[in-house]
Amino acid sequence: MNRLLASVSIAAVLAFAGAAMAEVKVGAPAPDFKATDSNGKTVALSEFKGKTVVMEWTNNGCPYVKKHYGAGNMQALQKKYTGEGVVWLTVASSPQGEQGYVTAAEANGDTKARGAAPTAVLLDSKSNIARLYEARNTPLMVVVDAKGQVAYMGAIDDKPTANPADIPGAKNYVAQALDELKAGKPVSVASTKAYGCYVKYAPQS
Amino acid sequence: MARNAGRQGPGEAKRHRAAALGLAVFSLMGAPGIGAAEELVKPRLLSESASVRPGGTAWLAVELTMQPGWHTYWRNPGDAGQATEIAWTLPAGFSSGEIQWPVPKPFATEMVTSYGYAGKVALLTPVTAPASAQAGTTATVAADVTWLVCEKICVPGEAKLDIKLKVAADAPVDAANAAIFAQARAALPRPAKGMAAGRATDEAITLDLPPGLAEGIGAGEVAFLPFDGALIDHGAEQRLQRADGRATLTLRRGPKLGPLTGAFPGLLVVRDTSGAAGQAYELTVAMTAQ
Repeated sequence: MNRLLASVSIAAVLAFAGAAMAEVKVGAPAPDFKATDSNGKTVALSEFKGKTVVMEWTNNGCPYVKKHYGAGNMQALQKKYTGEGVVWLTVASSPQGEQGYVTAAEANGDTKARGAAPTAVLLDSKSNIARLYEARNTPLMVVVDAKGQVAYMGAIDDKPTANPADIPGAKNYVAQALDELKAGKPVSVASTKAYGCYVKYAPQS
Repeated sequence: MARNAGRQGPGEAKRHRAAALGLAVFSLMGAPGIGAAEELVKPRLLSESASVRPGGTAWLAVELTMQPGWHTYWRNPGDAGQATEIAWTLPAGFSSGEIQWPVPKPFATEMVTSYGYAGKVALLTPVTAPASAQAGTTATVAADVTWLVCEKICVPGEAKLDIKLKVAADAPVDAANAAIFAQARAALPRPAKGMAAGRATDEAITLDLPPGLAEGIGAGEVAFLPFDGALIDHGAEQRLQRADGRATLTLRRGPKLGPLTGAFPGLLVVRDTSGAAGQAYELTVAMTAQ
């Protein structure tokens, strides 16, 4: 075999193998992490074992996030399901200098101003949790069941637009997964392609 | 806005700014310091000919000119983004066809790979007149174009464009736009000879490329871009292996889980050893039993 081709192939195999060792997979344990929330408290995913957890990737400047917050859709989901005992973690992974970055004070200001009701807002400005979950979009929604397994990962709903008029007619995958988990049913749609702005990453350290 | 049919170039459209401005204001609220959405993208609706024959097909183009550094998206935007959409309003009996998408470029960050266009892109679409269309009449064709344009941040945009076509027995090509249409056609993928056989596991999809295509690749690199955005991880390395004149390409799976059946189309983009873009083929992958 041509030596150049062989070395290119080997490099590609190694790169592929690296990429294939993703931590997050529907049906598998959700990768654990520790983060600081907007009130300075340390939050670990593992502390919520026994509860259903929603992780919601956000960027307060992204038109697709603003679609759901502007229409009150995200807040309504947060209120309804935290009211049922679900833990709702909003994750801000943008690094300083990029759209979506928030200080603790700004995160709390946003929560108050828009009437949001997450259990906690995680400040992930080194993008560590994003990298762990291969978050590519805002909003990205991950539902972790009480056993700590990823039960749903993907889009918030089935209308991948920035138009709030599309919300009422859309099928909300998060609500569907949470309702099914509550009823002890299997999650009928466990994985979809998320839509929205791309997640801004801090340079890998 | 006053009409000025005499001064407009043949086949050039008028723009209605209201919808674009409305969205621009909406976008400005979250994007301080950024220009209005319509300035990031300048849209035009062009026709290859000023006329259309009764029963004939007129080729129209939605041309988007992006500010430097900004890009709009392909039919499958990749990991993030949103494809440009065109909603047509046509006179009775007229019909429109599908957008003919030029071969896109990848835009990659550490974790996200998208497909789209920078600079300028012309999206060709055929519009067909009914045989009953009367020569001497004028057909107004309207396009409601929505797009997402991104640089480091993303801004949705919209424009309502329209164009007047004369219904006539003769529909000569308009010299003013000829270069734009020729360039747009040259940027389209070619059909591949033969299909690829696909096999899927939980982690990967492997494509067996048809022999003629495999030979044509030479020592260059290939990438497969499916039209369906949920099938693969667009940023993952695509491993090409060759043996005995055959070539297989292994792709990392995306969010669509479970067995894959049937067939799905995509582009096979070939780059030569210097990385320059070579050929692009529209290739259908037929999934074999798993």
